[in-house]
Amino acid sequence: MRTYQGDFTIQSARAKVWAFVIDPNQMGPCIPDLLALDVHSETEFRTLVRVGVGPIRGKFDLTSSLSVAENGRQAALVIKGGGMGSGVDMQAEMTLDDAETGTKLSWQCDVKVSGPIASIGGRLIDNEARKITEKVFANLRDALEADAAESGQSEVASSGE
Amino acid sequence: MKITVRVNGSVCEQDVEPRTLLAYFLRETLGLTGTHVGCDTTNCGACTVLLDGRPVKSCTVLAVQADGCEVTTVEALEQKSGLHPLQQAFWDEHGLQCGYCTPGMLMAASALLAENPDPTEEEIRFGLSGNICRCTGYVNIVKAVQNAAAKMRADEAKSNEEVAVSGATSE
Amino acid sequence: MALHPSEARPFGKSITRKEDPRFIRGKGRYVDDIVLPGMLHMALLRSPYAHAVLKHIDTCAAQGAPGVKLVLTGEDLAKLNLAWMPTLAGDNQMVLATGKVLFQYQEVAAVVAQTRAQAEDALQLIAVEYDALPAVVDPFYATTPEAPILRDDREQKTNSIFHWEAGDRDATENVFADAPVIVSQDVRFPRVHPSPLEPCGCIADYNSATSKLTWYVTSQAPHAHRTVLSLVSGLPEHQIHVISPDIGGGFGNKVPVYPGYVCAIVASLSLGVPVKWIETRTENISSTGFARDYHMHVDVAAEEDGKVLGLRVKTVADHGAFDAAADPTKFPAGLFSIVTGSYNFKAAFVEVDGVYTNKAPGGVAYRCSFRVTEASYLIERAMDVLAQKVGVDAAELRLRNFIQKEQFPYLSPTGWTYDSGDYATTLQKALELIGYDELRKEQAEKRARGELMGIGISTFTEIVGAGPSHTFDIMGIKMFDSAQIRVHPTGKVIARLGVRHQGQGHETTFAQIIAEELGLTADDVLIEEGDTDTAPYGLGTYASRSTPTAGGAAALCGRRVREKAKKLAAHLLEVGEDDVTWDGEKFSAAGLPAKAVTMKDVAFAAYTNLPEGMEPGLEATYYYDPPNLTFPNGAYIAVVDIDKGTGAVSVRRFLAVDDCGRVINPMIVEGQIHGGLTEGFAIAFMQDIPYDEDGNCLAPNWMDYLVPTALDTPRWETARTETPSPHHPIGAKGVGESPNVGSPAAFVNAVVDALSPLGVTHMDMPLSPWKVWQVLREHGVTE
Ligand code: FES
Ligand code: FES
Repeated sequence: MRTYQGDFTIQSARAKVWAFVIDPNQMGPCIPDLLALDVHSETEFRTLVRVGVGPIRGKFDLTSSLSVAENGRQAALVIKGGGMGSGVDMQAEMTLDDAETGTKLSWQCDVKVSGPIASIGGRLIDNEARKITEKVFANLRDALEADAAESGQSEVASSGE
Repeated sequence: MKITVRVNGSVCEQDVEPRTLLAYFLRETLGLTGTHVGCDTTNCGACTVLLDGRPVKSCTVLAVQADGCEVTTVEALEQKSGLHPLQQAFWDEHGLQCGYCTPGMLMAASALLAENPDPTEEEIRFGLSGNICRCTGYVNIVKAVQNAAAKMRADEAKSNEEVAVSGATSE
Repeated sequence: MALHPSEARPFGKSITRKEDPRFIRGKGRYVDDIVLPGMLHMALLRSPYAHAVLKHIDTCAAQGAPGVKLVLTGEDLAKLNLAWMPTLAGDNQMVLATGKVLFQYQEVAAVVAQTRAQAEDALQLIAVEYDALPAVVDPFYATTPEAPILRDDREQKTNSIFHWEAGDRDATENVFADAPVIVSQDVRFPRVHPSPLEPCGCIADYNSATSKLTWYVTSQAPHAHRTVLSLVSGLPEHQIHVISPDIGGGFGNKVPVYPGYVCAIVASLSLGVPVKWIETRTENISSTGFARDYHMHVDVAAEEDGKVLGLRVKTVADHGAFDAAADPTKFPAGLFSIVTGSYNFKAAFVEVDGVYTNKAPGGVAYRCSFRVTEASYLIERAMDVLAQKVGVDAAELRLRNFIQKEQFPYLSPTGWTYDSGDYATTLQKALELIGYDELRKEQAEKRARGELMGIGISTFTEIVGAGPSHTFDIMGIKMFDSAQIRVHPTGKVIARLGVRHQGQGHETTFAQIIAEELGLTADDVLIEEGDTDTAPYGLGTYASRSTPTAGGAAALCGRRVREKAKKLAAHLLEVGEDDVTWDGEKFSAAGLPAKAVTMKDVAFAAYTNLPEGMEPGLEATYYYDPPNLTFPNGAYIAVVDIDKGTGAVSVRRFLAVDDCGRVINPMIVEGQIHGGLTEGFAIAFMQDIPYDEDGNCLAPNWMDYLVPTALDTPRWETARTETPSPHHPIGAKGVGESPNVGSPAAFVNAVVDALSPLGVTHMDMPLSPWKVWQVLREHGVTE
């Protein structure tokens, strides 16, 4: 299992950020290389994404379910699925806090990969998984700040295990 | 897809799926099972054949890439006049055990000798380093290639002499 | 250069191999070369998880995919009572998973289609829902109370498979209590894989008109496989015809029965057409019989001068998810108790605990006789640890401790009776040939200059040729072996054996043995193996057992033929049987050497001109049950130089002096030694199959699981001593595996010797440049 985490500040009110992150229709498109998004309910959605790790390229079929830990502040996203004989299990957690210039979003994501992707792409996965998770949150920030006047300072740190 | 490949001297016209690998085209479509498959990562060289004279790992070449080319497999090494010197030397020097790597080794070695008729031991080992043998420990394979090289050089010298001699008499 | 097989009196001569002409022409017939009319192809879906609940499998889409004829899941097999199969070790193994998956790459479903590609395409359409469970990767954790129980199918709710002991605990404790010196060391033998160049595979061909199943399979033990198959499937044994065609190397990997085999058979039974399954290299490494994976602890008790007293060994053996080792029934840890090696220990006690983990099943021998390699590596490593501790040269320490020539037959403290050996002579020969004293001098000079050069010795004793049937069986089948010889009217012979070669040259060596007994040439004798319809029953080729068992059977069978031939000769020579003598090439009347007949004359007479009352024909069958095992041994010396900047080890020289008793074909024996040394080298420096904490296999292909090329491989030097086995009909001991058993310790001892000035006393294999570099860095040798 690998853990990635980071935080950044968005020039936007907390309520607005919250509304965004718990809406599959808005969150879904933040996933990079998204091929299809199928929202089943307010909390359940399915995505088809393109992935490539080293020599292995193909599609992942992922089921996501969103749950609220603390309304307006903390939400969790469980993503499960796989493809190409491989499996992915992710548990992401987001926490929103008021910050001076907007909202601070802290995230942490535990990623467990199995199958050929893990054994063959092993040494490449770390970078790839980090890239994907970081991209999700970068997209989220960009979307939220699209109409904001200036982009806030952001910082993304991560650690793999 | 239609392809035309000259395999061991005869022209084959075949319809192949674009994803068909040359190794399977040879083995399954043409029934030339001397070319073996030992891995799925292009490491072992059991599938080595000559494509327009150059050694390739046929598990990593698409059959359609061979369209219009000349492919030589182990089945073509033996001539009417007898075994290829490499075949004879592998036999004489005990250069094989289970025999699974042998066709690939022979093809890689023949390409090596075509380029370098008098290789050092180091050059032979380098030249065959794309081919894995799990049985022999390579000692006798190297010996066999050295012997075959010597034999081929001697044959070459002899035929040059004959040419010279026949040239001299015809003048 | 070798002689031709037409040589007279071929025993002991290097003659070229009879099997080679087909291989050098690309005309070998390996299982994937066989094409049968109407044949379909099978591919397997494997689990991405090491440990997970199998919640649901949806095969609808796959069933409808182009070319697909059949999809099988564990549930389908369960209806036929075939979801599980017995292993050779007496455990059960899932054929296709039901309920749970227990290792990554475990077989979950099978698809049969018109082409290989269609079958593989359809695999992608099978939707499986898993619920991942925590994986048990560490075998030490496996037996703690916190660890989840992996095998809930078993009655015993524990991850422990067996606890096994050999030797005398109390006597050993007593020796340790008074010992002036005790050294201890943890030693790991990594998980490695035999990885023959040809992966495993089969074609199952069930003919519903004759009710006969013909099964072409990469099998080192076709007869045993047929019996297992008959027991599992309920098909009558005589209706199963197992053909083991040319095999592209085995090294133990082709001993077990694999789930893919069973699926192909089920598919052929239900479709009535031939079904071929050929695994990929990745499938081969990730799911078929691995070897070793022993976590060992050794204590040696000794005198101050290094004379050994007692040996204590405790081992945890990681068997993976199912116990699919192929050890004889009474020996769950194989012949590991040979661990006292070539040394005169007063007492020894050995314990092995086998455990389940979420890894691929196996524990087969990788070119070794049932865990002998682990044992040999451990004791040879331990002797060096002791030498270092007491400050005695590694060669000298061994000479002080060898079992002496006069002690044979020698009863070891763990109960083995060694047949013969002359260890001191063999080591002396090796020391002289390599110029040991000179090398030590050179090393001293280099050390003074800060250079890292090492010399490593291994003087191992093997135990092969299982085996006497009173002690050894596999699934109850006694481990004898057999030969059948038929001499045809023109004096040409077809001989069939119960073993199955995979490159060892049986078609030549057994022909030599039989030709020698019958006064023929190897050319006159055709050897056939691997066809259960024609060959006599035997247990197969592995663990260096062919020469000790089937070799004995071939010789004795030849002698049985000769007995009858002698009667015929007497008839032809018109003398009494007692007046007939055999000189190795012909029968003659005593005192009248000119009056002679050859085996060819006799053979013709057997069909044309018989004495009154004699049964026609000239043939015999012999089932040979060896009275004991054989104990090949050797002295190996490695010389290495280590690059201080990169940690790369270069093996400058390697000398193997083997004593494998009498040698049938020196060229073939030498070839076996070269091959075995290369595998030993690979194990010492390159090979390991690690798993991450989630149970992902991190080396499932030849990009990550390394096999040496011609460029990596050292130049081997070989020599021999010859102490015939006193009980074997031709004095042979078997050799195929000695070099792999004996060499890893020589390599590691050499590297540790090179690093010993830094205070290094042990390193675990594989000794990759990275690992060596880390040690160098730790000791400030490199940045
Ligand atoms: S099959 Fe191994 S390199 Fe082609
Ligand atoms: S002879 Fe078996 S792999 Fe080379």
